[in-house]
Amino acid sequence: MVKDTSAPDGSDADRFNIDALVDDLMPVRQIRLREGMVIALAMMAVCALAIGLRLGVRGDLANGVPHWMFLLRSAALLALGTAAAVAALSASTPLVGSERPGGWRWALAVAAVFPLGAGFVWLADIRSVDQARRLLDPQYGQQCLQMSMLCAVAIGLAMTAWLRRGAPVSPERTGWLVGLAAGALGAAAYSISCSENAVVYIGTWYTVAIGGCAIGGRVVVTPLLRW
Amino acid sequence: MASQDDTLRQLMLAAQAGDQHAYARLLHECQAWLTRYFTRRIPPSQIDDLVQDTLISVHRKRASYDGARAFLPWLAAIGRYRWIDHLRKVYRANETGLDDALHAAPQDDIVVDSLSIDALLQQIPAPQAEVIRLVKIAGYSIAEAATRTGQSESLVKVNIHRGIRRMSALIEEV
Repeated sequence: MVKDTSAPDGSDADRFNIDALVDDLMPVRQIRLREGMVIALAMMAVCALAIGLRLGVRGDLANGVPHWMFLLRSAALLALGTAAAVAALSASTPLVGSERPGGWRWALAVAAVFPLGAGFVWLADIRSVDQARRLLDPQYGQQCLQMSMLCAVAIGLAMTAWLRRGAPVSPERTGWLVGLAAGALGAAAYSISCSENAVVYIGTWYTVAIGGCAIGGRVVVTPLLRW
Repeated sequence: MASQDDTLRQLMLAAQAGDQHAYARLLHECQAWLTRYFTRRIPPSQIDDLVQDTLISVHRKRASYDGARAFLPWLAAIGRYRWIDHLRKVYRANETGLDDALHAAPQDDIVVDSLSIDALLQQIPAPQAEVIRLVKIAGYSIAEAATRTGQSESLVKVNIHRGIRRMSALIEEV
């Protein structure tokens, strides 16, 4: 019978010896990165399905002719989420002397086009509070924020539960990455419902959601990953 | 060193499949390796406890070992994690800064010695690996290495410097 990792009975520390560990040995199955990725992406798909059923799918997507901004946004979110998830989940296998996946940095740099674009619009075009309010649509933006973060919590919980089976030796870094990945994948899941195409809207609300999730990952996930 | 790592890797794979004899041998090898690893890092009176803690971690987290990779980097990462955790507890008790202690800690020369140097050299550019092998391992002079590789002497020095810096980064990147 294959059993996951198990702790030896440490009730009598004074009698510790190697034989006790050997007696406790059970076959184990190696942790595989792809299993963690399947779990994270499956959770994102479940969230997207729930969002679609609850809030509906944006019209252009439902009609099979998605707007280019939706495609660009989704690609950036999926690339960032997937790359960050690979980096986070690969921490389940501890290593010294080997490079960790660093693709998430490039994906983050690409995704930064949106907040940078939003910043440019803020500086160049927005001249009044009313204009900002019109562009940001706070009521819809709050829904965007809440739903994205709700999806991110579900994805982040699944990733954290899987990571706890492994042995992450950099809990702080891994916590950041779990938050970043969950935030991006959660935003991608919600994105199928979000009808906004304005850069200033995407660059503001989505950035707040993903940034908040990354901070949340560092604060909440990191202690859960210590072992 | 590579053959030692390969032996340990095979033992761990057998242990993951439930082979108790292989596991007993593996744990004894790990015990000796960890004792050497911790010897220059903590007071002698604390070594046995830390080795035991680390062996228990090895036992609990054995499923996290990827059989396609070298074994000693995995063991070193767990040993380093337990060592830092140990320092954190000690310094928390003493109300002193952990960061200072970590920065004052000796370089990972034991890790560098004990890990497969070949594995590290394979992860840096070939011209850097070649001159490091010649000068730092085989003992050739800079001029001799330049003649053998066709690189200029200044390039040999630069490549050695960059290669070693890259290898240090690889070791620390856990």
